[in-house]
Amino acid sequence: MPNPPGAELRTLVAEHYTAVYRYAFRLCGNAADAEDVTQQTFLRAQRAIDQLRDAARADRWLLKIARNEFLRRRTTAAPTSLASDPAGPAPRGDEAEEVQRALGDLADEYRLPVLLFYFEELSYREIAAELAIPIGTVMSRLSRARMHLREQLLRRESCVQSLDVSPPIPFSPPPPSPPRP
Amino acid sequence: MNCRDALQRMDLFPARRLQDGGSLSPGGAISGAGDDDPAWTELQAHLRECGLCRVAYDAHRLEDTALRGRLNDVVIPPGLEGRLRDALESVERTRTRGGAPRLVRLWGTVAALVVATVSVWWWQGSRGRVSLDTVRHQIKAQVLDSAAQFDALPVIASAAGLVPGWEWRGLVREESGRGLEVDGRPGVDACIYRFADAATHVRGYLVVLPASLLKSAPTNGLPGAIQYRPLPSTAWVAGEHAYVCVAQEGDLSRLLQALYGTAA
Repeated sequence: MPNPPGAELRTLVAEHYTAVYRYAFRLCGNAADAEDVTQQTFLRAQRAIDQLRDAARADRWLLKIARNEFLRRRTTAAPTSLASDPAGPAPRGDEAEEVQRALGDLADEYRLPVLLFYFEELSYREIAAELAIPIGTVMSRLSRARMHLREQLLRRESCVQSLDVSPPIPFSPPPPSPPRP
Repeated sequence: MNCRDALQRMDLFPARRLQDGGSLSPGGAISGAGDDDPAWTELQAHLRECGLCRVAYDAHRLEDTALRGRLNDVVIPPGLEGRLRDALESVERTRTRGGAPRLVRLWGTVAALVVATVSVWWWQGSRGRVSLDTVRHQIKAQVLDSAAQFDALPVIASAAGLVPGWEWRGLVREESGRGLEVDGRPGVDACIYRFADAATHVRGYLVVLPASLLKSAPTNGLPGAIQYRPLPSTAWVAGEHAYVCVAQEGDLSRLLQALYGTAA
């Protein structure tokens, strides 16, 4: 006998709310918005639960809803800084703030492919399709964004150890290339 | 595939695929979520043969895994799961509570519309749909069987204009008609006039009623064939009204010939 819709949704919440919240936090940059996005994600999932065909892919389905909810809010609300929210409970010490700061250094067109790649685990082709940009653009943006994050988050540790700390370089996208004929 | 392509292609796969692939050993197989991807298969083949790229792959994999771990390092607010469940249950309760009355209201509206439509249809279809025979019999029963009964009928002061044409206006005795009920329901349906023609010695009654009240109204616009049962009568329709002329005395055909030049 199939589970009632309410029970199915409770299972979804129990299994995936942490992943959805983490993704929402990285998208929004602060805990309050992340919780709102998480809640809206599950409310939308509740309304559209019939569209979930494969329960094994529920995580990707929910993360996509979360991303769309974030993008929808961003288009209707004033843009907010991605720097970590000092009042929010989510950052855990300097390390967690560092991650958010490193992500905040990235412009949107670089940050979103990174999050799609690491959280939704989409391939380059899938990211290109989702963002409606050429796959070459995805590759170049993702490569530069990952390089920046590695510099900021991973190699810093070794730099700190050698007391050779270089200040973070603000990351800005290159000028847009002319449109193709 | 050369080493440069292999290094570039490592970036093509999400962190979990690289993680699933595990550490490589010379000649060993890399299993992972990208098995069905030709690019992944080519990369596998190259990594099996190239020691330098295997080292780079391992470093890349570890680095990517570390990066993924750092990005996922977010503290979950306490009580978040409970708040989410509360929000979902609140919406569910609202939907359930508000759903039933909405459904009831919807069906109630539909039922009311159906009842109203059927009622109007029945009312329009059945209201006073009478045959000419019924009208004739009603005239006989209510008026002709006793001359006194005509005077007992209610006066309709505004009915003077209903008399058809100048021919009949000269024959009608009273300015006002009387109300007549012909469809078997309470209320006046028709207007009846008393008439008399001194030249032909015909006297009788002229009844005016809405043509829509008749089941099969006559199509002739002037007095047509005379029917002699229960009394000599003729009927016609002009505009929205039907007219029934009943002769109580005299030869109706003579009257019609005098008025219209033809008996029928």
